[in-house]
Amino acid sequence: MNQNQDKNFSRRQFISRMTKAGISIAAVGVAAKYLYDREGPIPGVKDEELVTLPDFSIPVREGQVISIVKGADRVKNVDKAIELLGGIERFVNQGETVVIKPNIAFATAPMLGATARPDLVAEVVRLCLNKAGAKEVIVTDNPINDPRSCFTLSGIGKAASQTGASVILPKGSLFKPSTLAGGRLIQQWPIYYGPFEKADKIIGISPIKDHHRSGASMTIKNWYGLLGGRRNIFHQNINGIISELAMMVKPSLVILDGVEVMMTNGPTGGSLSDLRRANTLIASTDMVAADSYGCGLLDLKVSDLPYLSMAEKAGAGTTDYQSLKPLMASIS
Amino acid sequence: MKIVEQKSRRAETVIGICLLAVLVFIATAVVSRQFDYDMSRYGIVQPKAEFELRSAAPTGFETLSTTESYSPGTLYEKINGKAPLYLDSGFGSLQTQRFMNSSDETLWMEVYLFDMGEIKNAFSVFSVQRREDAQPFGSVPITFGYKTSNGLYFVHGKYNVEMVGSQASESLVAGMEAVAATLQNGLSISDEQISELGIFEGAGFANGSIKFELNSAFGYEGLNNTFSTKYQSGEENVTVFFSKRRDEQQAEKLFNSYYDFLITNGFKDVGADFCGANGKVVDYYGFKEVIFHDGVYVGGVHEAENQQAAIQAALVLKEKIGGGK
Repeated sequence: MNQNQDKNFSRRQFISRMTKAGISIAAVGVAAKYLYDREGPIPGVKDEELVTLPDFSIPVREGQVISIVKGADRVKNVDKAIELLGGIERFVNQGETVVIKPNIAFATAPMLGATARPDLVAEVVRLCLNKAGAKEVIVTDNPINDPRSCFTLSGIGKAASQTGASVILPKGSLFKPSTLAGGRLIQQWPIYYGPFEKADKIIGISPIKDHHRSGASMTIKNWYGLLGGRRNIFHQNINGIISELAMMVKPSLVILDGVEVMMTNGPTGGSLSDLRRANTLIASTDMVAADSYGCGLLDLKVSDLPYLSMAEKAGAGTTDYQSLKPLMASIS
Repeated sequence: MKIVEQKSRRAETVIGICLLAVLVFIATAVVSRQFDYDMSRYGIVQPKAEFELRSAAPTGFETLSTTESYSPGTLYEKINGKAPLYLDSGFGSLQTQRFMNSSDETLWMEVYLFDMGEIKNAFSVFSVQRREDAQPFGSVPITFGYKTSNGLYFVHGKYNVEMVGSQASESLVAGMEAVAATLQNGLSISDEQISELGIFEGAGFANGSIKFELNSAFGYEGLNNTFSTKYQSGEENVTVFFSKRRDEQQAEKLFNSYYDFLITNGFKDVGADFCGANGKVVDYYGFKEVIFHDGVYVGGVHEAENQQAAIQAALVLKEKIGGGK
């Protein structure tokens, strides 16, 4: 059969096949020339690929920067704390998109206090949607543990979606490289940018926790969840990275939950005996002020947490929360 | 002949298209996965563990998740800021497993099995995290294990085991005790002991509060490998401590450097006569620190309110150490 075929292989066919082969080789050659990178891979990221988180802060209103509410019910506390600052309508306008970033770092049960409480997150979602008339509320975080487990076991995924929020879990395509102007650590580093790209306002919600490395985890440390990549290397300079987070993120509002405080074995805790009831909730537009008040609930002084004075020096807020004349209230 | 040739060409075309389709599919899959990478599904596969933790499910419980494994390089992915505590104490590996009550999905626990390399390391991370409401469980001495309303913690040879419950529940803690028994039977360990703990045996010493700090006890970097516990000295409850050094010269050197550290940080020498040149009593706004060296040991009393009680406790400790070599 092959012999017969070879015999009947005409000149025309030969030329036709040679032409096709020639065209193919030429096409590959042109493609190779077009795609060839003479300089080879350049380490780092091009400037035009870098993103910067927008400034989500709202205009300062003197005398309404920080509110502190005492009470055992964190839902009532947050309602009152936001009301004292001027109501949720001051922070969220009708038709806006709001991103709520609770601390959902660990796949642990809510009562252990290692994550934000689901009832508190749900209440803030409700305020944004029903009272302020937000178009959309997104609840998201980039947890330490497996995201699905964290959103499920913390109870936040269910609480948020039942209240009408969109829940977004992190995935690779939502991270973009960023360089913090004036920063030393956040340089061409991937940050969790996607959900914040279309946001008009952002609200942080965090519990007050002891932290083995940094001394405390509160509202500023909560933004550690925005860092991607092998972020644990920043633990070598924990005060530096927390102060840079205070420079990188300019939230509309932060809520610091000190109804139950993790006094020992943080940031994961594990036993209910690691918690102490302080029955306090803080709302503020100044993260540094909120954390400066919060450290007192951990029996710490501002000077025990070097990142607070570093953040203050960088212009992220004030450690002298008393100078802001906190609005106080108690709920029985 | 032409028919054969046409068939052959058609077959080649079909095969070519199929191969190209496969290549396009592979390229699409690679690009897709590259931009939607999920560590939990595609993470590094860990080597098979010595003990299958999922097999420790107690009666009435089922596995809630797959077993997770962590190495020194990945421990941060599980416990983040608490990782240095373990990493600085000889951490080898961690396995975790969640178990859920079969009839109540709100009742679940997570078991953490830390391989710390040796018993002293395991005891160190266990002891520095001891909870105030610790209660004994099973036949485990409280020095090495306790339970709380929602957790159970113990040392088994080189292993530090922590179990965390979703809520305070007697049935959940009972399940944890069953897991503990399974682990104690299933995990093979050497017969190594912590001989220094014998110093804290006897009347007045609270063996349920013993801590072993591998690094920087009482905020002083040089004071490592330090055992401490509570001691009832008359009406006062004080903290006694000791650290064993390589030889007597090293002990004297540590004694002097710790004394210098205290004085530099605002303590005042009260000039009390205690062990001659081998002992010091210093004061910081009413809190007394007693230190001495004896043989290869440096010992003392930390932050006592009553000087007499502190010196009394230090003398008892010194006698227990007994010029240790």
